[in-house]
Amino acid sequence: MQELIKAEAGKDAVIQIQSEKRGVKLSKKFRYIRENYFLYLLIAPAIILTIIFKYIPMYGAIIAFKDFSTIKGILGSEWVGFENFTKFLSSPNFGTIFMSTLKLSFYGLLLGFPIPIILALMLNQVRRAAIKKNVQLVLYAPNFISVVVIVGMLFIFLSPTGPINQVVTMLTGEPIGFLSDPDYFRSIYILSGIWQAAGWSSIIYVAALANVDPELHNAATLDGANIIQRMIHIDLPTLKPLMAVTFILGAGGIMAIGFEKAYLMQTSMNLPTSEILPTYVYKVGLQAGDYAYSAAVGLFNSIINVILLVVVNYIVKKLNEGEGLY
Amino acid sequence: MKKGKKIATATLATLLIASGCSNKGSETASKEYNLEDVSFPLEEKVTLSFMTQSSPLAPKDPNEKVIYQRLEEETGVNIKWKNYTSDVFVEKRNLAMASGDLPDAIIDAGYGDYDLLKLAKDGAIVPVEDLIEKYMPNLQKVLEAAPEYKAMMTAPDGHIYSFPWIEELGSGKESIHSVDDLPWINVEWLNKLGLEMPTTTEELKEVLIAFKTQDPNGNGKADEIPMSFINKPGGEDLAFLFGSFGLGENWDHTVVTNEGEVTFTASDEGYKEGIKFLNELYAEGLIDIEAFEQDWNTYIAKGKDNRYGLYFTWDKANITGMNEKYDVMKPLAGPDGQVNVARTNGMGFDRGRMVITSANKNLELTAKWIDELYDPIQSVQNNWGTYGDDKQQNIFEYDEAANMLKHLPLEGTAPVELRQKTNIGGPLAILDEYYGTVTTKPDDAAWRLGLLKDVMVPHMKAENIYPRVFFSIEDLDRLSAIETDLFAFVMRKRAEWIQNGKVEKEWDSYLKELDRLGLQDWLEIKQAGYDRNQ
Amino acid sequence: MNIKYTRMDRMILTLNNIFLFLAVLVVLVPLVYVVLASFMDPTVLLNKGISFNLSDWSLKGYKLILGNDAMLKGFINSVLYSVGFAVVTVVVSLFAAYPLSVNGFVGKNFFMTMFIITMFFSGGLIPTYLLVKDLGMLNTIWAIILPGAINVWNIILARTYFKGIPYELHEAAKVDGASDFLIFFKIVLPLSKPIIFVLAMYAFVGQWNSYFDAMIYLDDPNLHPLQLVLRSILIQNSTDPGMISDQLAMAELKKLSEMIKYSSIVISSLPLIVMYPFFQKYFEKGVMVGSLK
Repeated sequence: MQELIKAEAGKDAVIQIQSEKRGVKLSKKFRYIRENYFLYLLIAPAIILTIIFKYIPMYGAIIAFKDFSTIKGILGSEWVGFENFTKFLSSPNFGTIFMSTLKLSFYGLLLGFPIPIILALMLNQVRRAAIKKNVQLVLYAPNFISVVVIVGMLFIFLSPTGPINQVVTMLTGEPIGFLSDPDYFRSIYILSGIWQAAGWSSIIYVAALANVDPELHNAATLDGANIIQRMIHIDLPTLKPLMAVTFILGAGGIMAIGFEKAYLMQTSMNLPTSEILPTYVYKVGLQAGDYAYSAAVGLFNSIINVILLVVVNYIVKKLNEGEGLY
Repeated sequence: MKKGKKIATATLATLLIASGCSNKGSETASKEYNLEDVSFPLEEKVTLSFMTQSSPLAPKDPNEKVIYQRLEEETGVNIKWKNYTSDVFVEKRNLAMASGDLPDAIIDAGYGDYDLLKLAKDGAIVPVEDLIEKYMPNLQKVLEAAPEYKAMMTAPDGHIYSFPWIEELGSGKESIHSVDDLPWINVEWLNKLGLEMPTTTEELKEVLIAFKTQDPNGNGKADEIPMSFINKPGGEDLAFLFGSFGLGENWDHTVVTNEGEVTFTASDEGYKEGIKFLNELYAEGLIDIEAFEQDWNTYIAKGKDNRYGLYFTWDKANITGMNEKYDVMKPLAGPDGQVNVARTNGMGFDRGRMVITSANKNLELTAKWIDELYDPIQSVQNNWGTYGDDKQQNIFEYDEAANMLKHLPLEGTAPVELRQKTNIGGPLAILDEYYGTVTTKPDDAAWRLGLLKDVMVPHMKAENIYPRVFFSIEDLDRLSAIETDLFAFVMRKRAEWIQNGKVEKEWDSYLKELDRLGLQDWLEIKQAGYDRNQ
Repeated sequence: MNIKYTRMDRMILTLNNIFLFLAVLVVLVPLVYVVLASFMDPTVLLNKGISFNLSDWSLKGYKLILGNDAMLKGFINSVLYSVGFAVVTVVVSLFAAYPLSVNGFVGKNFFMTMFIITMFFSGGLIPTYLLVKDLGMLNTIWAIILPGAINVWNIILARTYFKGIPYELHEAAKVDGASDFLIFFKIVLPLSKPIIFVLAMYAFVGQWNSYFDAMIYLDDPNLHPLQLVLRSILIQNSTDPGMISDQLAMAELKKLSEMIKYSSIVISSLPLIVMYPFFQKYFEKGVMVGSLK
């Protein structure tokens, strides 16, 4: 009995110590905030804008579970549970479309991720400022062109009688149906995406490389390291945090590819690979003005994105000495 | 910091309340005028608030159009417009409705059946059948003269929710919509090579081979394109050729047999034979290799350069110009000697051209104003444009003695541009009997009607087309879900087979896949809809 | 820059230059094509491709665009929106990124999570529209600038950049008694020119090329930006094949849009490309400062 009481008392003591610790922690936090109030002032505008324009409208996501009626409004519409979701998941081609979407963005990330980095490393080696400037100027230019135009150009260049097929016909005697053969859709989509964005995406890496201390390079040179070795041991580690962030966000955005480019690139023949979730939703949902249905598919997308983000962030953190996105 | 937090919380709360409330009421609709037994012109001018769309070429304020100014004079009703250009109209219209910001009515609303039923169910638009009966003599007269439209206007629940656009040009088999993808053949090349106009599918093949190999344009290069089309349902597709092999093909893959059975064209034996024939053409190199992916601009550019032997479109003026180089090709006899022209499912009827919203407090006035649009002489102007505008070219002149509108020569202006600048485009009814009494026929239409009557109509075997059935919301849901997958699959297989010729081998698995995608459901719904409308 | 190159290094550098040259070529050829195409008659272009026969050239596309009042207005509006948007976004992003880059900043994870959630979940179009409407921002420049001003990606970029600034600089300043305020404005910001210009360019270009927000929030055609004006001419409405009276209308509009397709690309991209070297000058300066520390 006594032992029991003793034990109880001991427990109490432990609890007391714990709560004291927590109290100390809390007051420490408050002290930090008081001492560094300027930091909180700085972040305030971003927080306020985020709450107003991002969080307040979020209640609208509930229409995914509703039969949205314009007159009753978002809050007044009737609940229908998961009806919008089952409608989507039970359509006969859901599996094919889902896989096409995953593949397109996965390959896109795989190819699209390293190229801006390589480009930045290469640009960083150009010593004459004038040349570097002009090369950059050219490489950034495609980024300014709108998607509609890019696709228009693809159709011109890749048509059965277009310039590329003229060369192909000369070599093999027969043109390739780049735009009608489903096997080519992904390559064209991804490569044209790289053509457009790689230069521009390399900007952040170029900027980060500018921060590398030239002394490091000098010292390494004295130690007999060649350019490739210096790239690997000096430049790449500098870029590592940025690379981690880009990669995690890219992986999290896998399901979030825009619909416009794929939609514009669709021909009746390449649908087996070019029909992806966003284009499908556009056709079934938005063309009929069915906001509830498209909200359901959007929500489905977001959930997959978040799962991917969390998983990739975990893996990267493991590989990257604890440095992830958060 | 605490203060800031308080303010933030307060703002947040206010905003939440504000955004929760804003679906109620509407500031846009006009107030109640308490007008009864309205007759135009009104003694005192009142204002109604309408939403509409217009082409980017047209004036931004519709009240600058002579046609609306005249209406205002005649009725004493001033319209306050919310006008959007057609490229942003749908988004703007949906947003306005979704945020509860309802005008009195929407003209040229562009609503599909699904929209109408959904809005009606939500109570955003009101049923109008009583209004038609009580206040709309002009529309009633139209419906008496052509009672079939009343059935088409009526929703499955028995209500009428919208005012339609009705444009007749010829009727029955002789309607201008009877064949959308007319085949145009290069007669200059035929003459040069001393060939006859083909009458059978085999002869067509020989003619096309001659076009390819005998250099009809005489430039020494084999740059002629024997046959081209756009591989998409519509006027530029080669659906016409399937007529020689059976029931034929249609843009919605629907044909009604003379026994009243709704059939899916792309699962028919004749369709298979048609594909085999097209594959023969492809194997001979007679089909434009760009046909499967080209868009309108590429198609038109090659047409302007006169590179086609045979191509398809609504009116040759669009592609190769209004000249004697091309002429319409006669329907061909198939392998078993039968000639058939499939009738395109289409008609000058659009249900959702105008709706009255539930925010409207002056129903009688609005109904009577809309009825003015169904006055024959007004309807004609709504559709094509007006007369008596001293600032720009006119489409019509008004013959007061005969109370009739006469088309003026266009003098090189594109008719469409002129129409868009001067018409209304909303609800209207032009019946076939108006031609010659209320208005003259537009030249291009008269010419095309003549062609159809002489060449195509005698070979039309089908007695029925699939009408514009008003399906219920559940049926529409199911149909659109099926069609998204089904139609895309059919078009893809057709293109594949024309190129690789594997139609015989893959036919059975193709039929199975059609069923998996819901073909039987689709047939059932379409058949039931057809039966309801008889 | 007095690194001595070995023979190996020189070889690598030569290869490097060759690759870059090829990359430039791959990018440049299609662009030159577009510029040339903008001066061609569309029919000739689609049949024969680029032709150097002067009789096939035409300035019709440019005349159509430049003779249009709405285009000029749209151009001015676009400049206004893009500059305004860039300023707000850059300021807000930098302000938010700095605290997040400070070691031991209490609430870092909370705030970061809060930002990142918004990248994946949104309320959708209608509630956002209602909110903007209730705030009375419809038909004002604020509807274009504020709702999109928070770009989490920008905040992350800036935070990453700030982290690259050596911590000793902060320490030294703190020892000298400088406040957070002074450190941020006198030490951190002057060292951050590269990232400031990168963010500004991002924001400016993004706003310049977008039309969606303007389409949703602006009714008055006098407020429309260039891209929206171009879109109304370029867009090809699809029609219902069963109702064919619109066929002719389509034909006309398509002809017009084909005519200005290329010239409109050139005209709408020109200001960006002309502006870029100006930005780049600062960019280079920023790089110099960065490497001096």
